[in-house]
Amino acid sequence: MKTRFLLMSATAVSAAAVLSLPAIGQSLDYNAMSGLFGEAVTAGATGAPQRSSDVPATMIIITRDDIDRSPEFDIPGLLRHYAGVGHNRFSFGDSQVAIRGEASGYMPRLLVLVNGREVYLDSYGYTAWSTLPVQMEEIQQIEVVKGPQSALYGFNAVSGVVNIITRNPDFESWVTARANIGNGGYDDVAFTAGRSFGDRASVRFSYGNAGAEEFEPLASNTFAVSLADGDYSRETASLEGRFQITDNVRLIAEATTSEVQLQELTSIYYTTRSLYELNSYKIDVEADTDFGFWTFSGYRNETEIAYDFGPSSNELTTFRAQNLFKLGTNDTIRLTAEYREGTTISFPDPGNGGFGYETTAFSAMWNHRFSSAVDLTLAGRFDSVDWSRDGDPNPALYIFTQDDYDVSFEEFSYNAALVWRPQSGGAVRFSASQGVQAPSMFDIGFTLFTTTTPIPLAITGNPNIETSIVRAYEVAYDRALSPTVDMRAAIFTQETSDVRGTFGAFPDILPPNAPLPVLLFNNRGDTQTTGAEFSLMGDPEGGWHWGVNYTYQRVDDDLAPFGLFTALDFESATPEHLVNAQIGWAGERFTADAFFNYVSATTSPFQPEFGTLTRFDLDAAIAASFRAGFRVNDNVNVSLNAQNANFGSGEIANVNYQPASRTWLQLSTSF
Amino acid sequence: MRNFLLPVAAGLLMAAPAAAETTTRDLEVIGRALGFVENQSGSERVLAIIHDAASAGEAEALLASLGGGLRAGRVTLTGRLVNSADLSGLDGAHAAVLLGSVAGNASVAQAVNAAGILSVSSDMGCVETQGCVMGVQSAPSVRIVVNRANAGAASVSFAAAFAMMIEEI
Repeated sequence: MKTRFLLMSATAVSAAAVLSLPAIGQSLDYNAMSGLFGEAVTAGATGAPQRSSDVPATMIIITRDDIDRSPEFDIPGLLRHYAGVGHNRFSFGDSQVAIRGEASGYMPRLLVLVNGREVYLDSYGYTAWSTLPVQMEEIQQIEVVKGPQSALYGFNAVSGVVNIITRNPDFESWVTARANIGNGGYDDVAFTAGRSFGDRASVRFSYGNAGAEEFEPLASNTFAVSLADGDYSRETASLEGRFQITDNVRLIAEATTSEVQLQELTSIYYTTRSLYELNSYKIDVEADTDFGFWTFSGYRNETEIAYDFGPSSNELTTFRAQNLFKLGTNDTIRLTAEYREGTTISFPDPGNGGFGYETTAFSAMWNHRFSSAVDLTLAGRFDSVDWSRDGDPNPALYIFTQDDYDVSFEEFSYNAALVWRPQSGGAVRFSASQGVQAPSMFDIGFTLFTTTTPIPLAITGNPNIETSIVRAYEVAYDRALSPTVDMRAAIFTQETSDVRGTFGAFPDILPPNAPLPVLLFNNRGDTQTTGAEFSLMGDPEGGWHWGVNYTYQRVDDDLAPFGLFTALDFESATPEHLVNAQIGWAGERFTADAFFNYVSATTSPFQPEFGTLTRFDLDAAIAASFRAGFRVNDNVNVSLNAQNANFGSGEIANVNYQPASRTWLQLSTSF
Repeated sequence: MRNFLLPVAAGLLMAAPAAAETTTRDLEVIGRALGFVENQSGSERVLAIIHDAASAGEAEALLASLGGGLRAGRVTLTGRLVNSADLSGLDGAHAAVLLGSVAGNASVAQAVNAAGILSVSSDMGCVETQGCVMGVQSAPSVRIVVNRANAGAASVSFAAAFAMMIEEI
């Protein structure tokens, strides 16, 4: 493994005539650093650059080599092979990912970033993974941090964070063109390039276009059957420019666009077909000064979503200032201030006034090294959120007035972790954290009345909804059992209070207390997950590698009555056991990899028609995926990929569309 | 999954003895680390290999391993033998590795620092008490220790990201 890191960095580095020193922030030179330390490096756990063995959190780092060798066409597919990661593919393009929990429809408890920009959707706090403007070939590494990370990252980071980092054209140049063609009408082309111009400027560009036929619907999901002819389509592009303004000041500008059309499963286990049109613009200025490493960021996400139930159009603007510095030899400190404004039109029902929020946040992180064996990390964050609405919802339909939307939240989150490297070897981590999941746009201001139900209903957001708080505790132990075998283990418990969202089939408020019966977005109770993760990985001689991991999750709910007042049932819908295994071999020109995933039986909430909440039993399943690759020459690679090869025309794995075996030939060229 | 390499500081694996010989892998780590020294241009770096009579063989072997230039990350490292009794050969070197008992001779490290050259050793005692700027060990896992006071004496500074990832004393 160490050799591979050295080889990777040696071949990935362009023969730069001038050595530009790696900065921090978005400009960390991952290849050079990982080559130096013989292990992955990250700034994703604390904001400060660290060796992966030093991070005060349970973290997965997925490298480019991992991505190249996986028979997956998207990021959720990659993530599902790791301990503690829940995954459901609800349609060809709609995957949801969870950390230590249920990967439910529109899963809102995960923060996903691309180069530090939030890409989860403000509408409900979920991530539409297909809309991420990233091609697999331009990813430098993917970092998965488990557990609440609100103190470092802010709202939504309550089960964890996925941080996707793209390749840096300051440190390497590349051109890749790749085409996938497979069964089920799957085709997927991508072009990525990065290049420096002298030592003062560099550019990264990527474009991707994919399409596929939808999987077969679950036969008893009436609405999914009616939408089954809708194919999946995805088109994304991104452009980044990096400019060295002075020897110590760098400017990075990025623009992205995505357009995706797909079927999805919503948070109330009801099918929808959605069209996403997303644009983003971002600027970062990084300055290495005598007073620390400063980063000033600003970005804007413009999001247009056409759901089956109505259109959403919102804008998010964020400004952040950060200072990272070392005090003496043993203390690293990070200070951050952030301002964020999210606005949306009245939706889905227009005419009820646009609404939105302003957030001001301050956070601090302190890492203290007591000795080479012990270090402590403490982080805290304070957020103040103010909501408002610029019009009165129709009083004939909805119960809240414009003034009701003037609500404020003030929340505190923290992370604390002690890392101890005993004389006997390895590293032990003790951590405690409190994360905050603030209400989303849907939760606060959703307004829709139905005319297709037997009686008209008002589906209403709730400005009185409480923030959901997550508290988690973990003990973890990592060590190398031999020069070629690594072990990772963790036990954890996580309590979520005031779980937010998802109404049931019975109204929460009835006339005369409301003009129409109201299905209200609201807090629905508490839930607790306790579990354990165990992983072994090996790199014996001869080009082989193998890995196996096991996750145990036990969930206890104290929620509102299922079906009547909530569609949530974490106890039944979270798989108790997850097992993943892989084995691979790399020769001079050939590579071969096999992946196996076991998910234990669950019972999923199910809403085949609006207003009919029930449950559906899903059997335990094993998925087998394979990849065989051949390096034609230094510039051309071909591979045959079979994802979920044993699923045939569809495995009943969820209540929406049934994942089928997908096989594709991949041809890629790189320079 | 397989790429998460977790190095072990000690324990089940063989621990490096206190006065272990410097290895080619150590030189590679030193070369890579030199890529993070500030205010140095180009990618060529010259490493002076300071030895005494007892470590002459070790020095010759290391020089041979560098050959016409060892590629270490973005740095190309070449070597030059320097006898500890005559340090005039240090001129033009970017760094100097102190071998064997030379690492326990504070006057050598101080002379290197005074010349504005980064002194480094695989003997951690040198960086802790004998004046070296940097201590490097590559087995069982990479460990880099920088002595801030000694770095100041040598007028050597490192990129901020590097400084945050190594041990400083």
